[in-house]
Amino acid sequence: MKNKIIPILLFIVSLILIYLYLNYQAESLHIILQIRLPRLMLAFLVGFVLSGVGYSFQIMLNNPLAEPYILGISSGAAFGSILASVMGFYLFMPLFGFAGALITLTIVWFLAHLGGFFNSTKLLLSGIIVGMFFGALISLLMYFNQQDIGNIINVLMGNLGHIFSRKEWYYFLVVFGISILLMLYLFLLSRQLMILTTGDVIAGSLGIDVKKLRRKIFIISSLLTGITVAYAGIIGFIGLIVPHIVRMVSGGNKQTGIIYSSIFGAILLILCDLIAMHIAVIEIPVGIITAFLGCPFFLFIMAKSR
Amino acid sequence: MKKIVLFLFVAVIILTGCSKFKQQTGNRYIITSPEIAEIIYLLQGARNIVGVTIECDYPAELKELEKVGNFGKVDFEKIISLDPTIVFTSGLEQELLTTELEKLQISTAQFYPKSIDDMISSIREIGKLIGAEKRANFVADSLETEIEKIAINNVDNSHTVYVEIYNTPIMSVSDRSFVGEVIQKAGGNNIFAELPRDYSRVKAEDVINANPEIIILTCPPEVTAESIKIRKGWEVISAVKNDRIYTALDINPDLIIRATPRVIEGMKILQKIFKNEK
Repeated sequence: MKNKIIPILLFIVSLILIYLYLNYQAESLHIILQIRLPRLMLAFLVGFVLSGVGYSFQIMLNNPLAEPYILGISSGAAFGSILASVMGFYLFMPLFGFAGALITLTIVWFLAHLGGFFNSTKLLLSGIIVGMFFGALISLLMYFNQQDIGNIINVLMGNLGHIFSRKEWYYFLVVFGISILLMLYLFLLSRQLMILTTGDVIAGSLGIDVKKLRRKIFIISSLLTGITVAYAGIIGFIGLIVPHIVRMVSGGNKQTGIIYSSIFGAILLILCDLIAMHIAVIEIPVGIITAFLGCPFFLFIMAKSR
Repeated sequence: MKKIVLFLFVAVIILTGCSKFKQQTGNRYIITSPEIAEIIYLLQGARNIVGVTIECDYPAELKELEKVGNFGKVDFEKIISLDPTIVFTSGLEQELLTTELEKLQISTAQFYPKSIDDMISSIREIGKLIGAEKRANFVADSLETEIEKIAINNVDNSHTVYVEIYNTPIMSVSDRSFVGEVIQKAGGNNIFAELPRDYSRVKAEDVINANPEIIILTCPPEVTAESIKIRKGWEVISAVKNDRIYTALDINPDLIIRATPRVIEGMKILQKIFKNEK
């Protein structure tokens, strides 16, 4: 019974949210189609990706504190975006952001392989250290380019109000399609990922190539995270909290957990962005709202699930 | 014997330190605000200015002077070593700077004109401070006349204007900001006149709804009119359709952003832009 109610409830809530998101205080169809709809798609993608990736990272790294940004990809992508803006290449910010993510991914990849074997502790450490390094580079850029501080804040606190150019929009549609396909592939891997929760040895004896699986998930997840940061900056908490909420509600790790996590993450981010857009006269960075709303909600679920 | 030698040695070292006594001849000004630097230069040239910040770039002669840092961050040791009689500071990030200088017992004069009237009264006050009262009053009086002339010239504020001061995120100004007042006095009707803050981020959809006739970019020159035209959904805006986007190439942003007498020049260019005269 309960299994059926939750999907139906999520579906109804998301329909209401989408309606509000597109129509609330929108004065013309032009605004809905040209401004709100692209933003809705971006919010959906970011929430969908971050929560799904967060779920798979927590299992893959066997660490409840893992989240999409933990492997440093976000800092690399943010550095790329910020670098583009301080150099005046405003139109190329997403491209630079994605390039930053790719470079970070490669560095972390090689660091995690140093010494010949690939394990999650090494991956985690490499990711965190590389992330810190790029964090320092961001601080440096911030210090010397105070005229761009508005944009830097935008990247560091998250912003779904990316203004697309018309050409860029078509690229984004392609990126959107590819990201959804990658997410579907990640869903397909979730069966193997579940077996990983029993430990590397058992998973190996069950015929799973643990290293290969980790690599696959690492690469796909990092690419996806890079894409979100390139367009929307760093939106915290969603990727950490949503997987935990899903786990608490559904009672532990489940194979379908990652799908629920993605869908719930998308809905939550759309809700947060709806609030961010309208709660004050001036738009609030969405990262603040996700933390503001996410933390109490998380605590509530935690208290209830005990 | 050893003790006496040591004592003498230490004494000599201390005395050599003291011998660098301060030679104060006349006024020595350090200016950390580009606006104030322009005003002081206009009133008495660069002769008493001993230090400026990197942003003080107009007139070009100021660029030759000793640098004490940038608008947001100064080198206190450098300021002390230049031994200023007054440090002229601005507002915003420099609120804190002003307090810190006072802690170091350096006398400061803070001017952060937020309106044209503010600017004119600041000029008079600065004149008094630096002993150029006559010239300051003359400059201030003629500014007042010029602004009145401009006001008479503009019949109505019928041209809707969107001012973009930053592009990611897009930011605009209210009528209470200096730029906002300049636009308004030059005959423009700012679409964000009622923004809750002087400078604030705005929503793209509000710009599209307001459908401004004119867009003015005070961003760096890398932000081209083309980059506005290609924005998704912006093609319906009147200014985009009629190609009335003005960038740093059409009007030097410093002429309307900085609260200096050069604003008259800026207002005249704006007036031409609003009336669509070339």
